[in-house]
Amino acid sequence: MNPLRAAARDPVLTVADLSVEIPTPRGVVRAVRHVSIEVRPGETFALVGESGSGKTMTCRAILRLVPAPGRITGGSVIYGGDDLVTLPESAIDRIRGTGISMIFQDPMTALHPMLTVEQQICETWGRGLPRQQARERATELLRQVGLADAQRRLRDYPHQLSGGQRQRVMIAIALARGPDLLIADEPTTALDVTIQAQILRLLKDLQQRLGMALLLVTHDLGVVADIADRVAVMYGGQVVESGPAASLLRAPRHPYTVGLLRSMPPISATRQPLEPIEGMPPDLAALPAGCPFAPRCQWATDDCRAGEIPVVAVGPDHMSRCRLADAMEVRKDGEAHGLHLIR
Amino acid sequence: MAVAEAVASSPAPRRRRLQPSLAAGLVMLAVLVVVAVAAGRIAPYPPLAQSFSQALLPPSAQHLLGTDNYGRDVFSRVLAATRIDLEIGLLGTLFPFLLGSALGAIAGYAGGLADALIMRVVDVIIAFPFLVLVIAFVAFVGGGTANVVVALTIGGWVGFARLVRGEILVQRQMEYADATRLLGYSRSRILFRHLLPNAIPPALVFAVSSITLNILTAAALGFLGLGVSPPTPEWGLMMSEGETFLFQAWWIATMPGLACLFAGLTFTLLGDGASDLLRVRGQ
Amino acid sequence: MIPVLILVTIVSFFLLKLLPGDPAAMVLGDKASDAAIAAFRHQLGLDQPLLAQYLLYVQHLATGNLGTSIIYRTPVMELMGPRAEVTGFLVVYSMVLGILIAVPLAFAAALHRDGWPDQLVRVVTTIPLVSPTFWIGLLLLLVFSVKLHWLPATGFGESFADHLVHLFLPALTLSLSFAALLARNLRAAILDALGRTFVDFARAKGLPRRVILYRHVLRAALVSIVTIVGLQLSFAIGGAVVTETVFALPGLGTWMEQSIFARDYQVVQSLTFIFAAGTIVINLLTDLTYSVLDPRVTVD
Repeated sequence: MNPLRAAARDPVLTVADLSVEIPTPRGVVRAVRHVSIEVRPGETFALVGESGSGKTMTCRAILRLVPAPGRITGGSVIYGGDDLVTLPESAIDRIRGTGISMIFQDPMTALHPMLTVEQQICETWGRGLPRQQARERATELLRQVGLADAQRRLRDYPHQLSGGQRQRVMIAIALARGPDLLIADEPTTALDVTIQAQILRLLKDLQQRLGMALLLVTHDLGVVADIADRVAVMYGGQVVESGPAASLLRAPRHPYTVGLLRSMPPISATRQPLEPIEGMPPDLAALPAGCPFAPRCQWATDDCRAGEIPVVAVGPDHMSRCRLADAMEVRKDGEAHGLHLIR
Repeated sequence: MAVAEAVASSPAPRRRRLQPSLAAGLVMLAVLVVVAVAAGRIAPYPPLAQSFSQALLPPSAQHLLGTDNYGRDVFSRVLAATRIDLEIGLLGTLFPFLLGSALGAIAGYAGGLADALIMRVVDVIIAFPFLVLVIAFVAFVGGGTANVVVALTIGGWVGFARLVRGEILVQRQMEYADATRLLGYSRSRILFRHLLPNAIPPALVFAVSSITLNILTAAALGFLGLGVSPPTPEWGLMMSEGETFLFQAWWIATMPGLACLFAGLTFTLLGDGASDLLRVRGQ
Repeated sequence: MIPVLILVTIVSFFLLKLLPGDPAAMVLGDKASDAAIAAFRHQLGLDQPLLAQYLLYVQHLATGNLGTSIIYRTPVMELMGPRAEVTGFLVVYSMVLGILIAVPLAFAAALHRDGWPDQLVRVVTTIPLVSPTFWIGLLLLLVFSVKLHWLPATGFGESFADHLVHLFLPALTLSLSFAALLARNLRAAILDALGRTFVDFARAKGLPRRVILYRHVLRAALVSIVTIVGLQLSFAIGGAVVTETVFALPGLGTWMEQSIFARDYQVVQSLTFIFAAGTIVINLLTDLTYSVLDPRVTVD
């Protein structure tokens, strides 16, 4: 879909300043810190980060599925004119599945082992739909997600299907009531590489056909390059950079994003040495003041460690949470990205 | 929403339940032992002393738990019965523990024919409901404390055998058993010095819990008239005798049950406490 | 299953051998004539080698000959029917009651983990597990029958509804320790199920809470119910013997006790065998139920 046309309409989902905290014996884990993202109708928005960056918790918070004792401590999630953070539970229940839907990482554990595929699809429609009609709709759904022999599959149990088939079933269930937004939490991580590509194609395909927005959580920049329209990069519970996928990947404006790009094998065949990012992800229970990436950043200054880093606009629709964002220039030395500081 | 809360509460930091249950259990055990040993001195009346003028009296200051149809003081009889039921419960657990652990260790360590044979016997015994087996044995061989203990042993050793066998099998997989074999230790040395010490603690915990079951079974046998014979006081027997008088003198049948509950609770608490201890030690 | 059954017959066979003295004389009693004893010895095959005796016994079992009751002068097989009905009814009734009691308790405890319902359930479930079953029966009898006159004290009743009323107290008595054990295990199984991802996905689907609990969670925890039922069935049969005695029910258990006192040994032997055989069959059915409940399990 044309990104310009998408931008013209109101966003489907606006997350503003969202924070999630989880009390643990070790201390309060600040899993999500003042996260703001905006998903526009019909677009694919990727949420990228390592494990522990807060991306999964952000998605759960959107649907108010944060597991206790964690809770949302601030911010808002605007959908359909309502703030999902303050809505009563019954109202959220109505939105789950119909307005916003979510699929999980491992379909083997997300599907109930003792219920058939048909049961798990049809129960989303409840009593309202008569048996035969429900079965037909379910069969149609399975065909839409690319499952061969759909009618036979209805009677199967999850353990009788392959990983890719299970993922398709989960997608079918999530789409059963025609949501405006589908949140996909690492939908391909548990799958074989060859199947991954198929599922991604399927998601993109469905999204375009149904005019649905897709919020895709992943740690794989390759996936982002493949199907995302816009991206947000998360680190230490914060969004450190966000913007259109193409420009962000071509000219990143945050040291962490650059590090990510450099540590991943490039899609082209030329061999480059992989450069891992030195150091370890931060302990979310004991975050240092200032930028969470500072301990690992080679350009960090005292300013970076001082206080909350403000968001800086670095291009049309492109922002970065870095004090040096404006002072950076990314030039390509051959195939690698070199981050050069311009004083 | 309760589902959400229940879903994700991470395993609660282990609260210190060690102290209360184990401590309570030990205190209660002390009470039981003292009563069992010194019942004669503590009891206000001789347990066998009959007095028809004093029959069927409700609980009062003179007779704490009332009197039965022979005028015997229920409280004194309950105290006197402690020794018998405790004896049966303890002996009825000790012998199964010894026999079962031994056979289980042999089955687990030797494997092969010995294992198959022993496990077949276990299967057969398990096929009979425990109480039915015990009752049948006592029915054919006769009553009395000794026979009851034998019956409990025959029925009870299987639990220990399976437990110890299982533990031994697990331990055998572990590396240090191989290491000791490589060092050339004899098989019996391995068994006794290395494998058994690890297999015994869970068996001990199981034993303590079994004492409760055996006390209750002893009482059940007494209730059915298959244990000791009257006029010897025994909790189950007293309850059976008391059932006839349930309408006019309910205390005869119900008070011994409280004693039974006390004894059962003692060993259950001890068993829980012991298994907590075992878990904390990093088992 | 078959080898165990065979071994069970061997054990039952040897029960009579436990009797001090001549089995034939013991079975027939003091008043029997020498001729009768000799004839009986021949019938039992006591004049033949041990193996032959055993095979004779098995042959009898296979043809439904469970011996004869000395007291009633009737074959055991004939006397068994109505009594087995009572005991069977009692055991099934108690299992059903046990499940009806345990499931809500388990849910209450699990959904309010560590809260007061959980603590209360833990305490309450301890009591049946440390008390003699028959004592609980006596208490129930005392309160509901003797004092309050709400329920009859003894007997089986005529119609099905009658059975339900007459057997309520005995079945309740028998059910309590089973319910206690089940409630505890089910609570753990529910908590385990609640922590699983499929519950999260079910919520993300927008399923109502009731559906999640009673279809998804309970279905997953159901297996543990079957396990406990299987384990407890053996204890339940033993408990039935005692419970029937408390409530003077005309079942197999009371019959067994009467026969022991009347020295009607063949009855005792045969009943022991029946109880064991019944347990084996029920365990088999329990195993089969697993494969019905959990589609991942295949039947051997």
